[in-house]
Amino acid sequence: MKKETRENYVDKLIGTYFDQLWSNPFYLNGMGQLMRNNLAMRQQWNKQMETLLSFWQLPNQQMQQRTLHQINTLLSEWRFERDELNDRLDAMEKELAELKTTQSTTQRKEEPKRAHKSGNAQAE
Amino acid sequence: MRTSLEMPKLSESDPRLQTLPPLIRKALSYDRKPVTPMHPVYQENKLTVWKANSPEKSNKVPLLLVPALINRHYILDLSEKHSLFKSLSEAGYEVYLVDWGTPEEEDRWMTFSEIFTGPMRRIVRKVTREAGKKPVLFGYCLGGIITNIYSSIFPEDVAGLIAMTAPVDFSHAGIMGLWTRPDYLNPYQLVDAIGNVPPDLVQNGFMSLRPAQSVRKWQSVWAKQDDVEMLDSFFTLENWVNDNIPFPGGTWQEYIHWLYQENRLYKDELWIGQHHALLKNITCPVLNIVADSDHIAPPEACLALNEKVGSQDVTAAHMPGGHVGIIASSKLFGKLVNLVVEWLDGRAASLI
Repeated sequence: MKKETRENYVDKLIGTYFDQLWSNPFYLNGMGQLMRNNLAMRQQWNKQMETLLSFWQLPNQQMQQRTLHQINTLLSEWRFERDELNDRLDAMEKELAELKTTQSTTQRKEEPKRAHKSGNAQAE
Repeated sequence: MRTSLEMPKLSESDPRLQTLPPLIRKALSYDRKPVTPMHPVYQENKLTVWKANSPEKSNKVPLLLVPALINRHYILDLSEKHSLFKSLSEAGYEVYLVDWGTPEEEDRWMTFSEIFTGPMRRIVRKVTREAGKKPVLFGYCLGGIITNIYSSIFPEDVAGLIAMTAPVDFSHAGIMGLWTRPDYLNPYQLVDAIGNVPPDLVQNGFMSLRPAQSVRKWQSVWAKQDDVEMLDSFFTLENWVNDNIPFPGGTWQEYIHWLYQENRLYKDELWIGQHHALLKNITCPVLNIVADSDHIAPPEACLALNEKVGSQDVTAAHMPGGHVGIIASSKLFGKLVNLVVEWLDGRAASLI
């Protein structure tokens, strides 16, 4: 069993106090409302800036970010698929080269037999 | 964004530091050094997938470690003694680690769904191609939520699933669940106003869960500051704790709304694009690791995974300690590695 020290006791007290404070609906409602108001002000500011920029027919920050994100996404997809295709092509080329090597080895082995056969046929 | 520990770095031998107490000397001179030798195998946008240099090839199943989006990836490669990445590669596994990178302003448009159908899908395909086998996904914290959802929508891509401190039933999410209630927080409004969620907001939220601890730890480390090894591990962890990155706004708003506010994953109501994220689709072996004193992802929230998955082979492992302690504590780290390696080795046949 853990010994109850003074520090542990104080920690527990502070912990309990904040746990109660941060789960108190009055506190949470108040803080939530404060945050909502601050964010609404920020949103309003953003909207004003957008209107101003569109008045000069300039793209706003959100438009630029969204476009850049789309470019990044498309580029990532394209690069991945291209690399995948290249990997597959490399693998197929390797396979083809191996097949060719096997085929030529088999042919070389079979050639003397054929020559022998054709010689016999001529003699006959 | 600068955090308290990001101050100009001085050399430990700097004469100006010599008269200062060891704790302050270390705080001014601490600089993180890379731990495990690794190389990148895949890069896109800001993310990188790293692979441990050794072993180059292994007959064992490959492992893909997925950390949270809001923290730096090196929590899984923290120090010589606390590197899950290193320990698992030393156990003979080909280990891959996702480094999500630092989101920039344009990444606020990255949605929660896009993570799965975009980067995550490509990462898993790349690792499968690179290793020649389907990987076991190992997700930590939010990374665990990502791997759980990914495994439920693309079960054919996954050989096995290890979820560590990853909540599933958000009705048991504790005080975080309370703070994110729709009465108090409108995630869409927040993102519309400020874009990406600043790291300080998330970090202060975590710190507020245990306010006394954040003061007490400095007091306790001050008392033991002559212990060089302790000081080093303290700053290694403290550096990581304060080295947070912004949460992509679009991802965050859906994550909070869909999971915390509506608990859609647990209620089988989560849709990722056209894919229905049903946890019962997960039929591969599952290891669910929970930390008994976790106040960020309480055990009740994480254990719900076991009852929801469709797998016949589900293991729940309880570890003492908290959300970060499970991976950073000297006492627990060895246990964690043994647990994971034993689980993997014991399923060598079924995981391939």
